[in-house]
Amino acid sequence: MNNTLKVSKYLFHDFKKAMMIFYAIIFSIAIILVFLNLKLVSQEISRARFGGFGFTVFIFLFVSGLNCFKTSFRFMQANNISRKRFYYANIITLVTISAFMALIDTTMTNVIKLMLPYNSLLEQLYKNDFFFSNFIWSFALFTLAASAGWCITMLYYKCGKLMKTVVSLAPVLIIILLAMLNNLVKGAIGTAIIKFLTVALGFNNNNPYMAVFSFLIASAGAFGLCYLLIQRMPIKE
Amino acid sequence: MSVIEVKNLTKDYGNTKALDDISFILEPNKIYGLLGRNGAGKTTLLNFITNKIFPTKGDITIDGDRVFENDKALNTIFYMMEKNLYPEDLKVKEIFKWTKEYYTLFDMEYANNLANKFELNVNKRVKNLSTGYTSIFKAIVAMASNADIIIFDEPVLGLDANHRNMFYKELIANYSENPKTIIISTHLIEEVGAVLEEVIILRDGKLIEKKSVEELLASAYIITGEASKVDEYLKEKNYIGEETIGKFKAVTVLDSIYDKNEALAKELNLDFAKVELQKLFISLTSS
Repeated sequence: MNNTLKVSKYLFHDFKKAMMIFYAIIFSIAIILVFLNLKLVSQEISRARFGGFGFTVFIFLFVSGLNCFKTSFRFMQANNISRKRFYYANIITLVTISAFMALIDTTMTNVIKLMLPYNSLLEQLYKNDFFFSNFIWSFALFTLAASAGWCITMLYYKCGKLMKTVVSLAPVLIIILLAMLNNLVKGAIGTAIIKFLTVALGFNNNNPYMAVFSFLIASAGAFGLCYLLIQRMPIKE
Repeated sequence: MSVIEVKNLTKDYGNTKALDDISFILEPNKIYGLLGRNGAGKTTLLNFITNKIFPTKGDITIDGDRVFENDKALNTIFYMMEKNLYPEDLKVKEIFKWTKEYYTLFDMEYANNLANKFELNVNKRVKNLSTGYTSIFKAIVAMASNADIIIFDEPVLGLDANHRNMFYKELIANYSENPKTIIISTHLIEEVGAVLEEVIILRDGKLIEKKSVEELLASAYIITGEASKVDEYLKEKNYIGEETIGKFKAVTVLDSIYDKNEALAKELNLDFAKVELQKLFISLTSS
């Protein structure tokens, strides 16, 4: 096994416990929902529809991305692993975990659907419930969540106190600035953003593959920024 | 082989020069002591050699390969840092296991034997180790790594006298059995003096000495006696440390021990003494 995969092995190990807890909770909730629904339907009380496990995975991977840098970076520095190798190992890990969780999520969706009126995120957004499109769309979305989380945590780790404040306030300032500009141009910016997102996410023609493409481009952008950030990254407390 | 070559290394932090145009070569399979006062640039230098930080100018190579972001070169070095970079939730035995992943020659049996000798509980989590045992644990990982170059930055931090003695003994035994390049950065010069073959002395970011211990100790001697007579002996001589007690004086003369003026000393009723590494270090590095 080459050293990059050995670093990945540690990173997978680091993720393992959190994933086990996450799935223990998700599976428990799914079982309770199936049980409750069967009971309520048999009594003709409820015909509610369920969905959104995919969204919890998105949040989980974003938070995991946020938490997966500092400790592992310091440990790899203790073992004299180069930043470059650590960077590639992280990408391998985050992409593999995203694929694995997308596969579980898609499989779980199909199993739950046999017992519950359940709609996946993809189905709710695109009226599309093919296994492959669900898997590939979830995979791209989860990769984006993980890469965004990782990127944000690296940005904070590298920045000094002043830059941390700037980075924290920047999104709020950008939103306020855009809102003001939007008023000046009578809503043209808002319309353009919505138009862009509609096309980028494939909502205009119900095409989830357009969203897959956009998510992957955004993930590549986040990973690219991470590459720049990890150059000469210092060891901090 | 693992020859370390440091070329024109400079590091600026604003207007401060942490390291100032340092160059030297470390030959393989020797034990080096990296000495210097607080803030002299010892840890900065070690951080460069191990790719932890990057220089403003200069280069470092190991067997001709640049170390910066070079995994091949980096894997020949194990660096026991003063600060603890290990995940606090991992157990000592888990750290041993993971270190073996990255240092394939890591000797698990030897690590466990050392842990037994030092009474280090390998089932303890890193966060539950005392300062002394954290140093012991890191030193064990370093010694068992079997890397060609092992660097210790303050290896005996927080260790009691018994454990310090055990550490030096184990280090010598490890080196005798499997010679390698060892660099020790420490303030406890008196203790480590017997272990070292060569010393590198830094002062204010500059390299002021790189010599074998034997050569360094032969490059100076102490002259003692009545102050006025000592002053007479010192005429036209280069000297550094001066200690006066009452009317007596002891001075470190920077001259070869083979060039002592024994006739004059006899005439003036003065005595010679061997210089100690620590005293010579203090003399060389005091402002």
